[in-house]
Amino acid sequence: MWFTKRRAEDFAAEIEAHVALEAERLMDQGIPEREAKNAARRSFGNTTRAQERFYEAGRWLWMDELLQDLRFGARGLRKARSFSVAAALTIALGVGANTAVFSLMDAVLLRSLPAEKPKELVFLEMAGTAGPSGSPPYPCFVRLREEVKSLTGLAAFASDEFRLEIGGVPEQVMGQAATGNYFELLGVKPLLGRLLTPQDEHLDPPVAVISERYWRKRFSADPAVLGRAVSLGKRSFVIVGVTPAEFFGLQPGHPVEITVPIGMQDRLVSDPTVLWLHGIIGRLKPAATAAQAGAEAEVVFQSFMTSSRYPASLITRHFHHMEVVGAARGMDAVRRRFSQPLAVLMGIACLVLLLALANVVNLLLSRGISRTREFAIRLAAGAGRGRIVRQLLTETTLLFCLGALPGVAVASWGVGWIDSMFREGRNPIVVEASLNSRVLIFSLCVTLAAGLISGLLPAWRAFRSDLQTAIKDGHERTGESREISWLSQGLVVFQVGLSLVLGVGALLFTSTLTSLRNLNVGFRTEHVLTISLQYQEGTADIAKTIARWSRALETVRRTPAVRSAAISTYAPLSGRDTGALVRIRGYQPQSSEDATLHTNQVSEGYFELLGISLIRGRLLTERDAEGAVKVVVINESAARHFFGDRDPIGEPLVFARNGSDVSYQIAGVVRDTKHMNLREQAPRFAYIPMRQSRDADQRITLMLTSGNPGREMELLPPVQKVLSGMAPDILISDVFTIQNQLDATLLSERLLSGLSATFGILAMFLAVVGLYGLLSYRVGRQRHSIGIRMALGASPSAVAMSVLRHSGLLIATGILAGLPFAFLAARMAASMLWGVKAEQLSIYAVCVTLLFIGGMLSAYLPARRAANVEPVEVLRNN
Amino acid sequence: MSTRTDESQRIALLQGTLNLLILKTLLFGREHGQGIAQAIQAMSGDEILIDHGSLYPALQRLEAKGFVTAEWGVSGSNRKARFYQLTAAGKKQITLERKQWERIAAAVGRVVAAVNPAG
Repeated sequence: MWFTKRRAEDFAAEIEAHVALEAERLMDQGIPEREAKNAARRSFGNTTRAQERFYEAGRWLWMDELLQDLRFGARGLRKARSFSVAAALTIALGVGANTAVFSLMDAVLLRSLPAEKPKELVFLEMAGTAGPSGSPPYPCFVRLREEVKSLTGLAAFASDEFRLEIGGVPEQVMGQAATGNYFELLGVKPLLGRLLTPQDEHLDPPVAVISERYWRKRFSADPAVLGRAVSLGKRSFVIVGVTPAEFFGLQPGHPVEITVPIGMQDRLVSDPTVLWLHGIIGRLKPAATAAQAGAEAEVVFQSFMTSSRYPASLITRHFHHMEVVGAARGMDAVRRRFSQPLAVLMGIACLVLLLALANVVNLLLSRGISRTREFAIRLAAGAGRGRIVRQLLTETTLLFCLGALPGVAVASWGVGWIDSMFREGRNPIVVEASLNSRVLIFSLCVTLAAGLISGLLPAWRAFRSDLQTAIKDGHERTGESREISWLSQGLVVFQVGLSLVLGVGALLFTSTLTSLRNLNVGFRTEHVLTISLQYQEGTADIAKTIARWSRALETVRRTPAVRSAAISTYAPLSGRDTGALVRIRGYQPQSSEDATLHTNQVSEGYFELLGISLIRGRLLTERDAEGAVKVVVINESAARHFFGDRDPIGEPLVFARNGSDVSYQIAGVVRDTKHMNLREQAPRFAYIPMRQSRDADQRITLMLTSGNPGREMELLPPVQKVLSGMAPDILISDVFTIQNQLDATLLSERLLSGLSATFGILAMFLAVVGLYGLLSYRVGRQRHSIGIRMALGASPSAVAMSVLRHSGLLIATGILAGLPFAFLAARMAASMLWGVKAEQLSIYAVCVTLLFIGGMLSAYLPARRAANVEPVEVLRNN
Repeated sequence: MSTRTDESQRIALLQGTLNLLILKTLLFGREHGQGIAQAIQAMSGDEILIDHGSLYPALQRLEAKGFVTAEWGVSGSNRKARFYQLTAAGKKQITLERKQWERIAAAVGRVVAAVNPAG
């Protein structure tokens, strides 16, 4: 657009020059000076108008007027301070809630893989009746890589927790082994050094690539990190590069810190029966579709499976066919888990925004009514209606922007809170929710849209206002028109209805959380500390490993302040276990699924420490060791499943394993405990004594209780000291109380209940404020008629009652309108509830009662004001 | 009042022709606004009176389009004035607008001279 370089003064000078020249010419024709000058000016026409035209042509006029509107709007808002503060706060809460939830959605659901052309990427997975079950083994991968023609490349990766050692200090990080073409396939460029190449798979000493996060955290972003060595297990890896900051691996929520090449000599690759790769990712050729690739992969996979030795039932359940799915957003375990709760939260946040909008509209309407006279005068003075409407819209938008600023602050606080919630527990999820540009653009759009929408109504009113009456009557008695009165009452009813929906939702979700928290999980959840231990030097010798762990256990038990200690391979509620096929006398399994049992290896004292109660037989003791009779303790579910009404005590339980069966004798039956999560039934479990284990893990969980319950965390330093005194290379990680772990399991429930409760309270508060605003405004306007009624004999209490009645009527209407929606919403969320039914009447009763109480409270002040109206004073003033 | 009647008898300018008149005037050399108005009036045999108020916005537009350039100078009577000068683009524009004008004039002429085709 052309922008003038000339200033208005310059133009004025030109006009002056013109007039002077013209006057000179006239004087030359013999006209007296004064007359000539006047004629010259006249002949020019309106010089001021010419200058205006120059000005209008040369500037961005709308910009000028916008600034003017903004200035005027700001002045108006400053004058109506309490109005502005109330509206801005409402907006801040509405916009803040939306921004926070959206940033979470952005991080969990919307963010793409940090790869080149992510839409071309696909995962190759196996699936069966039990759903997707990971990728096929390495030999199958090799064949897929060679035979699937619709893919330009195929890479395999397996991620796990790595035990890294840098300069002798061990630590645990998330890492992955990947084929050499992994980064090239994804199109990731190094931040520093180089990334992996296919040749690296054979390189000795092997190389490793670290993430930017890890580089920053562990090496203080030192460029000299290239060439440094890290130990992983017994091998030393040389760091050759750093991945860019945005690269997190392929699993959103679980960023990978180190990547090493899959080496040909690895156990990983050489033993296909042991290792199923974590994932296979491929890139489609430009014209190819996922379906084509899937068909090709299926052929390869089926031919591979015919040579495999898996039982048919396992194949049907897990390894039935190949699936090729889009990988643009990475593996979606986290997304699957949170997409439903997030959708609910986004819905709630939108409702809150709507509610806030209704409030602001009502505030604007009542303000608009008191400004009727101002608009009328401006119209009369020649302002275009369009200009006034624009001014109003500008003002509302300004108001919304003012509200959005603290709103973003609210959001950033909320995002931090949510982020920390995700990071808890044994499987922390790094969502990296942040107020990035996409989120900020979203909230800006929401703000502007909301500002325009809520500004339209009052503007439309201003547009239609009747000039004559407005000026004549001023604002005192201009009947607030019938439609406006209905409108603002309708808005309050709408708010009450909405807040009922939100309130019911909040109560349902909080009672779900409470009932899950109070659920009997079958073991003690309070005052137990769990610590993960791992030795650097692994040993294949079972006896040696057992001796190590029992020594560690004894040492810890002797530590002051430790009241009791026990060891198990897997921590309670971790959801981890070892599956085993078993044979039991007198039990005929229908499928291999029927014959499976989950196992955990535990030390003596495990059941006592966790308070898992014994039902029959006995618990494990120190004497259940190598050389003694092999015994096992099973849980109720296993006893019921395998033995029905028979007594399992003393019965043999045979673990079938690669042809070499091991027989144990059942010594006891204990109560079921929750394992995977709180909603699922306890699985069949067998507890094998640690000292009689078949394969000893290098990594175990140590459980501790303290002599001072509630101060378990204080046990960590002394225990750490004695353990590293005993074995300097022991790695201590994952220090949690079981309560922490429980909370992590309940993450989505806590999110839902925490946010929905916050929003529910907020909603009710907004509705009550809206109601209060409406009532006090109406009482203010009706002072005159109230005065007349009182003069005619109405008692103050009757007047007050009429205000209360009005409030009650509005609330009742809102509740009636909201109830069906609340019920509908509850039914839709039914699958997420626990221990509470969508149609539980008490929930609705509580919300209705709360709303009525709120309504009466908000009516109290206006009612009192109405009752205190002095009829004489009101009538005289008129 | 007498001047008013006088003026109203003069030809009102067809929209857009002012540009052509200004550019044509400047073909004889650089000139200031008042001079341009005077020249047009003189050349038209006092038939066309330029509304000085619309002259300047027109000059403004021409300047913006790059048909004329302007700079402050001193007039014959030793007065400061802003002088306008034709650019190469402006010269081309004259031919263009002139053709257009001739077409309009001819067309208008035909309409005015036409006899009723039905009768």
